[in-house]
Amino acid sequence: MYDDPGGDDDRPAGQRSGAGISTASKASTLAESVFELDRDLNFMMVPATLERITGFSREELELLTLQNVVFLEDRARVLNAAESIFEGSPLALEEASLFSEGKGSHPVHLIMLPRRDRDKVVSVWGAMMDIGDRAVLEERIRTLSEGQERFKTMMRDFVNIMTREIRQPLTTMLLTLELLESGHYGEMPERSRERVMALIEMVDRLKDILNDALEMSRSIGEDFKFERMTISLRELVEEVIKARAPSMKAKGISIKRSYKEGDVLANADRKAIYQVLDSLIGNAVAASPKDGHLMIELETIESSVQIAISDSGDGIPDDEIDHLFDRFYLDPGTDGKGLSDGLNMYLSKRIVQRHGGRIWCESFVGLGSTFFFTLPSARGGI
Amino acid sequence: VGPSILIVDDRDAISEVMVELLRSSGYDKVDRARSGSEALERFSDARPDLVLLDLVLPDMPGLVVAGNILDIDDHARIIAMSALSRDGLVDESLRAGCMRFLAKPFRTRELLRVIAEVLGSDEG
Repeated sequence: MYDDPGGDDDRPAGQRSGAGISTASKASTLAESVFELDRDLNFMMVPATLERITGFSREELELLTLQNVVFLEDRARVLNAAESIFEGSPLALEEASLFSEGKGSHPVHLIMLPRRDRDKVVSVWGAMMDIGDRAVLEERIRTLSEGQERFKTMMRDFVNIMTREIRQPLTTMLLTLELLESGHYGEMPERSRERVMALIEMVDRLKDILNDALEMSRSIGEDFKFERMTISLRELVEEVIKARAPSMKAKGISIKRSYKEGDVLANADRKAIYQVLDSLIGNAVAASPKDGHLMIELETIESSVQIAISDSGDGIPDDEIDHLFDRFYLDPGTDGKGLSDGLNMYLSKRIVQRHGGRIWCESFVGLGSTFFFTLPSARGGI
Repeated sequence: VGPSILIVDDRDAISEVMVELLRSSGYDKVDRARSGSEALERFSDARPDLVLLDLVLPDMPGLVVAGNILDIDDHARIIAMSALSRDGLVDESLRAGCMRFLAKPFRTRELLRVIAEVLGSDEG
């Protein structure tokens, strides 16, 4: 599930669009629309669709020919198409208006094929697809997509307002906590000071969560727009490490790099991949114990590049690995430290998949975790 | 005598803690304004060395206030602050003449660094 290449569609495969109508109901719809015509274009087999549209009974229709049910303006064309099957045409596709009781005319699609006995065409058989509701259907689709647009706008507005309203008190909280921690209101016992420092870290994480929520609300229903170019992963990793240096230093975390070549070049969007690396390295730092170590490996494997980021944390149990990349998954093991991982990881998965890459995690409880992701190599196509 | 700073923010909780923080960091002359018009009045009267300006104020847009302050003194040093997340806001505020943009919430060290940079610059 975590590296399901199905993109952002989280529904099981059987419910995805295209498979929305079950095979059984498709078959029954098809059966209702099948017809057969003899050499004189009389109905040998009357489709239920035709009964419904024309209002004639099956018995009545069996006495009629195709020309009796097709509207005058389409009649010659449809009859010619049916005749052409008897004359050797392999297939005829026509749109025709049928006589319809009460409504005057009703549009259908006709597919006609030859039914052969040895080499001779003995009858025409085909299917009659009711497209009369197409206008209604199109209208419904239009309304739906308008509704979806409205929903997207509302969602974005809501998240915008919400983040703004939360950021204001967060500003006060952060600055007040930092004043407390600095001893401005009087010296605190070391234990209290540690708790205040933990609170500062949490508020800082909340800030990241809000940013992720914003990012998400902007990406709802939209593809990421990537500007692909040749990027140096080595350079990008170093940039992320530099930005994260203060928090790593504070925790005494050391980094080991293993770059198998001089440089590893990917064909990708620089900003998006920075975000993925920043999330993964940030999580690795959060997961590592004090004085822990990280390992970052870069290598080109055939037409892909692979990035591996390992931490010396507690590791992740198997049942949690499966959910790591789910939207809104909250890491239950950490006291707030992993709060924003649900969004981070989900966004990382989407970014990597949209680049045609894969992202996954291997972990051993007690030893640590390694997050891998792949991207197309900039040298891949050569 | 140290530099004087005017904080313009309609949220008292924020400006109060900022005043306290700046004072504890050695900036003794810190004043507050809750609206655009109050900010302009205080600026005209006291000509502070630095204005920390929130971009959403009850009476007028923060960027208009920035423009008016610069009309009074085109060497005024303004740092824009905002909790908004509109695209292009940083560019807009820099174009309007603010020297820096601080996204809320910010940490004390960010605030102090940006203030030191702006006060230490040759502009103004």
